[in-house]
Amino acid sequence: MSKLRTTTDPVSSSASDPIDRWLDVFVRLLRLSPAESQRIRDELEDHLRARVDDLMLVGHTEPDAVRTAVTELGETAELARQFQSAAKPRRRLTMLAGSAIVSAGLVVGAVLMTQSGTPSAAGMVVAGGQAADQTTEPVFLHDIVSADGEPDVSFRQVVDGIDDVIDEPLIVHYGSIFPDSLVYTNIELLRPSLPVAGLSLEQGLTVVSNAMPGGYSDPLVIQRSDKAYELARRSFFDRRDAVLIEYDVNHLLRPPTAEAIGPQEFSDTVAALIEPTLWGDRARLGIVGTTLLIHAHPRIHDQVADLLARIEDRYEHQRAELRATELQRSETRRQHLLGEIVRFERSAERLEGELRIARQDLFAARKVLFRVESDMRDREPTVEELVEHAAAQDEIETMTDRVQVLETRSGRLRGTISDYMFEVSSLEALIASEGASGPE
Amino acid sequence: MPATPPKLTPQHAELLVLSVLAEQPSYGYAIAKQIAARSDEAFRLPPSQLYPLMTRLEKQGVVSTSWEEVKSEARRSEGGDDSPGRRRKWYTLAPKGRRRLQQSVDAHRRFTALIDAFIPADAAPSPGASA
Repeated sequence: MSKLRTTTDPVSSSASDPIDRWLDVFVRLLRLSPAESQRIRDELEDHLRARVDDLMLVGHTEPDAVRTAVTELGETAELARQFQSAAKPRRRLTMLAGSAIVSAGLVVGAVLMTQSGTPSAAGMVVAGGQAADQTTEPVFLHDIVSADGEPDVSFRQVVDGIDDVIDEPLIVHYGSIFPDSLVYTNIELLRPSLPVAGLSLEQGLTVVSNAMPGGYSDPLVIQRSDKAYELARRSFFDRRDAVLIEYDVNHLLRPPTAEAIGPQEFSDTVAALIEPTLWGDRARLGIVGTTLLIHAHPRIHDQVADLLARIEDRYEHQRAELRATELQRSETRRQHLLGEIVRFERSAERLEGELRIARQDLFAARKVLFRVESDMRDREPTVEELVEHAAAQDEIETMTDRVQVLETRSGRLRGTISDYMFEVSSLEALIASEGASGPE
Repeated sequence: MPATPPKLTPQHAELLVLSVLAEQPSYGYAIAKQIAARSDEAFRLPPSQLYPLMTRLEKQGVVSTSWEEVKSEARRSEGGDDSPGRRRKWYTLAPKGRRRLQQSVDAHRRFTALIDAFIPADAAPSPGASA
């Protein structure tokens, strides 16, 4: 159940609250349901704020207390991984036909409390912890050796070896392990001994699998349910526990820096990257429109989700690079335009100076013409006056042309400067908005 | 040179947490504080170890949980805060947890008895070691 965020607590939620900001980042790293993520967030928030309260009571300033409390949590991504690992839901399994329950014995020998399981020189194993406990993984206590007088290890001894380190029932799906045999437990594994002491069940089963026909391609796997352990070939669990999940991959079909990918091509890539031999028999995959449909074991879904998340991260990284390139380009253009504006301003001022002089010259020529025409109004003009009149008319014509040319050039220059200034302000707005929305 | 603080194994951490909860229900931060205080700061259970452990114990039915709304201590001491506060998760030892604790204590005692049997009777504690 999610809670309403409070805004009144001095060290509580607000957009600018550093604890809230850290929690936002942390929760984004969790790949859990929203409800589960919220519960973890609430609990960590309580921890952080209680710690901050304590630190402030012994004299820390609030920013220092927050910084100390967050630092004490350790590396954020690693912390998220640990929370996620602990919170991952476990599935209840059901027993199928062809299975048998072996009553599991109590943990035999000392359940010794030590940092890690290590075999002693005498072959005795100091177990890493109690077997059925999820906080530690069960560990094989002894090597599996053939019984007195027998040349090879029997499968019954493998089961007994597992039985020794778990305290809940063991369901063995014999039909999946020995599909061609009716007498399962006495089957011999053609090895006088299997060195598994001190190994986890998973590691030990790899040793056992390698001693069995078909064990490399389809190894033995032990799976934990709420009330029992189950032992079978991996293919058995793959088929039995397959679930259908739909993945919307629409956004993954359009890479930021390449051509769009066809849905079928995308689907083929996923199949090729995740256990390629799996598809068809033990898992199925198809694509409808932009929805990838996968019917597979949850471990495969984990891989698919991880792959899709990696692709998404890669795209996000590319988008960030594109944004950075675009920002750089905008900044370069802005600098260029600012330089051009300065240069054009100088030219415009020079032109406007010339224009002022041309207008003064035009005015002076008109004055000369006006004076000569006034003098000639009431009498016959002299030759000199006629020459002066013609010269004044020529001067006026020339200066009028010059003024027009200068006005046109100055107007164009001012228009360009105005356009450049508009573009600079647009670029500055773009840079400011990209800078604010991009990664820090 | 000061001695390196002992590192808690997962089994030891669980034993300490269950022991704290056997006395009374508690919440994450208080559990960690209690362990540090009772061990004279020798044992520290960081959040990265404590909370995943509590999640596992909860999933196994070893502890039961409940939620409570609390206020910031700093704000409460200033008085007059009527904001909704934050949520606190309380842990209570379940019957299965009491059995688990008993098994862990028994195993621990067997282990220490086995180790003790190897130590010479006249071995003196090193200077500065706690009694």
